[in-house]
Amino acid sequence: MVAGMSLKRIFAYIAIVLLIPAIIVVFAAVLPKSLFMPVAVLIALTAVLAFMLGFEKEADNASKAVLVAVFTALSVAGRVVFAATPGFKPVFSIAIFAGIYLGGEAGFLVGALTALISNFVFGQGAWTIFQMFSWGLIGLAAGLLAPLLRKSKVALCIAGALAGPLFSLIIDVWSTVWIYGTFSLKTYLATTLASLPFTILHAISNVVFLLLLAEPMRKAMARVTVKYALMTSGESLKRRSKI
Amino acid sequence: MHCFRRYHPITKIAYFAVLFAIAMFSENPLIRVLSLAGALAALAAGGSSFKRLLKIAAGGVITVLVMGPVNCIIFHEGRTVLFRVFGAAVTAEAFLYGLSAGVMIVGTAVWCIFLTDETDSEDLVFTLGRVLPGVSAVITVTLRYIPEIIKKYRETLAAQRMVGIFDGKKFFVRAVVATKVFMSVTERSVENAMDTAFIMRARGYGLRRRVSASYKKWREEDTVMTLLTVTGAAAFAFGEISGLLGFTYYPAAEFGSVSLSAAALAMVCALFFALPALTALDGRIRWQKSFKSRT
Repeated sequence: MVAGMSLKRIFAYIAIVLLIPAIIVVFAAVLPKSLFMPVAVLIALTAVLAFMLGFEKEADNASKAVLVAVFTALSVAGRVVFAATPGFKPVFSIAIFAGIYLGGEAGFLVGALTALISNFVFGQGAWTIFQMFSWGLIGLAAGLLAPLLRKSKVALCIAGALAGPLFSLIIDVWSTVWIYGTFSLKTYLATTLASLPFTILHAISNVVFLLLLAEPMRKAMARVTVKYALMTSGESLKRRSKI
Repeated sequence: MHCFRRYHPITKIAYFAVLFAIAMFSENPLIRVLSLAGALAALAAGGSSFKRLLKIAAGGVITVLVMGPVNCIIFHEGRTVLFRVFGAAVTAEAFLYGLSAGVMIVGTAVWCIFLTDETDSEDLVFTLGRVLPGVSAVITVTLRYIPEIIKKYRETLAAQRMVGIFDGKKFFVRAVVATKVFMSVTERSVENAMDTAFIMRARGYGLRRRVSASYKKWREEDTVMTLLTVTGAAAFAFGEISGLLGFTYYPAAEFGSVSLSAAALAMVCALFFALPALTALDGRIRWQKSFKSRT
């Protein structure tokens, strides 16, 4: 069991995560050009809704629901407070912390809801679905790697540094389809190269925020754990759902 | 004047879903131009300032002008070769496709600005509340926390500034202090959250047969707007399937059909794009009439 999830569930998530890019690549080869964009949007939307439905049962646990709400609110507030520095925001790091301390599904929800809610300020669009999916995936991955990320700061920094490019690579699929109307390796590489400065900035900001926030966040969660008789992992929160 | 805010969330979802489907998936440059015009008209009629519109227009013109040459560099298809760069053909068709894609991007972006202006968190909670009540509850609590967190962060930071912590300090030290403040706000929020959780549980959170309420009610004008949306969607779908609204860029740029029926379908799409602006205009006329009748 990792961060409150059964092995079966972890395998299901890994399968989904691997299946989605595979479906997109297959569709890119098979589908007519005009149908590719709506299908890509539908796939991302379905994935986001599937993860949200997965969280529905856990949302009955008041403490977990409220903690997810607080992490999301912190992430949205962080995005707003750091609005003046494009690409340099604590969104990734808070999704990662949510994944580590509340579990992968909660991490996914924090990432996804951050995109959905903060885009009421930064602008809604079809990209919102891809942002939700990408940030959510980062939170989910952090939940799956929680035992490792909790122990080692180096692993945490590596995860943060990799989260930036992962986000860009997923978003660039959408950007490519949106700009060029179709998906090919050539157009995808052109889009990826154009967004390279932001990708690097994302990676740097993630490492900075993770390093700055790791210890205080650990202390905050430890304090809450003791004060409210909770344990730090999502698994424990689930077990003690009576609170 | 927010012309679309008064509509029921379902009406808005239906309209925007069809709108984005047409604006993003149509390859026809005429439809794309109509979409952009409709979006700008909606913003203008919605009461956006001239400065804001000018800013959006300037950004849009730059995007369209950049997209043309960028597409020429990547794609070399098309019959009409304008010139060659390092042996690769720069074609008029690729240039036209780039410009058309630019218009589509700007049009969609302007519609997104309009969408952001005309929707609120109540729409979001109403929409998700039926399908995902748990997630909807999380969103409601989140929306309650966001302003509180930002306010507390700013207050604490101002207090730190007043006691001189920032005086003469370098950027890095200031950043560390700001992060510490953010962390103190985090700790406070997390602890408050646990108290909220206890209160929620005491009030029966998590019990079955929960109910939800919304102040948004379905009115006659929602029925009219939904019917117009269905008409717009049907016209576009018919145009795409029959090829009347089709457009090919390569090898040569040409319309799927140049006929009266194609023009009629384009006209229906134009009216569909103009609906928000017309709604705002209608609201303004009614307001002025009622104002005059009182005075």
